[in-house]
Amino acid sequence: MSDEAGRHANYYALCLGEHRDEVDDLVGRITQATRGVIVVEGFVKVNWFRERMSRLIARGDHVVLVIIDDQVTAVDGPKLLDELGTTPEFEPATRMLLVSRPEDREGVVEVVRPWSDQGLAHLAQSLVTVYFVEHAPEDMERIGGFADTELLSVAYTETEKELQRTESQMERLQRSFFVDADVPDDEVERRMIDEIDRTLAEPERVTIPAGTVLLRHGQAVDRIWIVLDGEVRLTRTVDGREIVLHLRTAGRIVGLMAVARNQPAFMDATAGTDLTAISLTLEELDRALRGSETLAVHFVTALLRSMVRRHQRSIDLRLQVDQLNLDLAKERDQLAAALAQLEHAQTRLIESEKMATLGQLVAGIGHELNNPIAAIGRAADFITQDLSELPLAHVDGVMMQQAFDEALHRPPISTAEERSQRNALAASIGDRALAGRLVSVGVSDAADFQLAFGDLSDDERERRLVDLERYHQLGLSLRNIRSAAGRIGDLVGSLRSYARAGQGLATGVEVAAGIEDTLLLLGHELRGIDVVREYGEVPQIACFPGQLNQVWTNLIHNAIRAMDGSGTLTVRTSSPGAGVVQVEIEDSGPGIDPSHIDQIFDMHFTTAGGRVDFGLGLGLRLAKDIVTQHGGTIAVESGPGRTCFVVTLPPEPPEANPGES
Amino acid sequence: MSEIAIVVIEDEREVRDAVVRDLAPFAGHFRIEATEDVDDARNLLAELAADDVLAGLILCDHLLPGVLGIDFLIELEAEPKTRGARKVLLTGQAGLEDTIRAVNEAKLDYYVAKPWSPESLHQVVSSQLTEFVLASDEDVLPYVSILDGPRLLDAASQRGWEGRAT
Repeated sequence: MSDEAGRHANYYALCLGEHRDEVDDLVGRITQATRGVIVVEGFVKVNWFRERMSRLIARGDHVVLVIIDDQVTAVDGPKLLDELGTTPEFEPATRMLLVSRPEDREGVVEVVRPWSDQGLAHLAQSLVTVYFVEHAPEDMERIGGFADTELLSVAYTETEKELQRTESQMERLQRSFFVDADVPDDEVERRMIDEIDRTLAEPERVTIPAGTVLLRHGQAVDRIWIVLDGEVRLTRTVDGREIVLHLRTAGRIVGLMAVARNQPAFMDATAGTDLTAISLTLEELDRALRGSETLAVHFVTALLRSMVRRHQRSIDLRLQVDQLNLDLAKERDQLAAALAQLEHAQTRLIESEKMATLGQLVAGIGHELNNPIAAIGRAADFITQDLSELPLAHVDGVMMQQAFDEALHRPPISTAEERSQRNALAASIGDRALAGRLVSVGVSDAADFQLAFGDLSDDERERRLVDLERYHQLGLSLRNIRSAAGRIGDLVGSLRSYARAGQGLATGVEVAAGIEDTLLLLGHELRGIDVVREYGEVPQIACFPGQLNQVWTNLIHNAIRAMDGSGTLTVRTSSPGAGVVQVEIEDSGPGIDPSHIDQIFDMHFTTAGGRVDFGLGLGLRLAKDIVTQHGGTIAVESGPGRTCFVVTLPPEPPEANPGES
Repeated sequence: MSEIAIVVIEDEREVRDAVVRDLAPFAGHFRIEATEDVDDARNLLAELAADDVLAGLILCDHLLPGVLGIDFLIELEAEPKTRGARKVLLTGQAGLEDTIRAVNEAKLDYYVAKPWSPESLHQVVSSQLTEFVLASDEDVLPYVSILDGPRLLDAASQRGWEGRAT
């Protein structure tokens, strides 16, 4: 047993035996064989043995050798050795079993009884040597006194070989291009140029002026350039346009790609700035690379990095192209939309041009009609004047005069009223045909008949009636001429004011007047429709009256169409705010389909049978455009039985009115 | 023999007066009735029926208050009492579509465009009434002087022969 305090030895051998004397003998022999370098301790109690081992390991000491006698009864020796073999801390130790009969146990050195003292000593020395070679080469000198020299020399040779293998591995690693990943590009290139200078005895530096072509696309390449200073542009010319492929990304080695593949240059290389460069022929390059493996490593590294940069650049280019394509597609869509708008505007322009031409024609015709209408009206007046004296020349002058005047001036009675008078008279005089003629000339009852014809014979009565009918017809025809001429005059007047209203901005405009013109002109469509006018007190405004007439026409026409022949059209004006005029055009039609009402001002116009349809579509679109140009608003409320378009107009249009100039 | 009426439906007074006066030559043989709207025309036709007067020719304006002339003619075509009446549309405003409808559905017999000439109106009225008289069981002879005389006489002799043969 030993006291470890003060000892510097930290290599141990532990023995476990059945008998104290045998154990002590064993300890003495091994201590002697290992010259005290190994501290050998003996145990006859298994627990102490275990405890000591654990303690040594915990302390950081090394167990070199474990020897167990298989005659130990307290424990199964081989089993204990196996257990130690699977414990990592004890694993380096050699396990030795003292046996009577060898069983060739794995991982265990069996020493068979009776052993020679010399053999055991030698075995112990060999095992300790192997341990030190394998696990403690740094303390090898400690075992110099007893080491197994033969074993040592074998171990040395093996170590030497291992060293060589490691070295060549290191060299391979050094040659790997990624070992230098942390080295900046400049440094790699500088090393490469240094190595070229060393190998080729500082080849000449050439100065190349900016603009010089180094390589031409499609031409053979017989040399490479290593650029020391300046920038090279790599370009391709497509359709007469130069495309810059690489500028910053060109790298320092120019021409090698083509050389490596033995192909013509596939880009133009031009000096972007003045260059300082080394020019190497292929033979020179070959010689340099053969002369220095280091150069090969630097060269390939520099080239590889250059390729990586070029590759990244081409990825960037690709991304740029994709982005450009996206932008182009977007622009193309915008252009298509703009084109559609232009086409729409053009169609509208053509239509409004048509309307303008039509308007001029109408104004012209209106003007031309004025003369004949004036002539007819005047002629009717003259005839009336001249004729009014004639009846008096008749024998029954007063009666004839009265028939003439009544026909000329008497307000008309309804056809039903006339018929009922006739029926009544027929009943009283017993002659339906005569009654009809009498009522026609204004003799409406039996009393009048008695007064006019009571005392006459049939012949005299017939003569007088014929004359009366003549004067009556004269008056009636004159009345009708004057009334018809008057109506034509009104129509022409409205037509002219409607058409003339297109001339431009006017001030002091009565909105209701334009609506009235429109109603008169659309009169033929208004039969069967009750027109209710609710004109309120509204201010005069500045506006383009012709354009507004277009709005009223479209809205009223729409309303009429919606009512399909019968209903009530209400036209209302009011002033919801200072200077503002609001116009409402309301119909009693079935209402607008709710699914259409949102787009009602946006619908494209349709043409039916070649003529512009003023209904939904162009009409409302135009109306909205015009109102918007006036700085006003147009809105629609609609439900079953009531649709109302509400137009609001400011006192004057915004200054920059694009409508008319 | 039943009296035969010419019914005019026209809302504008000036036009109605002119039509009625242009029809004056027929006044001796036919009752000429003017109405200013469809309601009055219905009343009139009822009165005529009550008086046993045949509606022989209906001369109707197209654009009437609240209703189209052809719609009224279609209505009359559906009525047994007026189905046999000759129907003439007097208008300046019926489009092609309306006219086709009138011919097909109202059995429109003639279309007079405004403005009309009195001669053409006389011709139309005369030939239409001739057809009406021939189609009816009425004695044709009273109308020989005012309507299409040769046609009426021809038909009369035809009837005479037929009558003799039976």
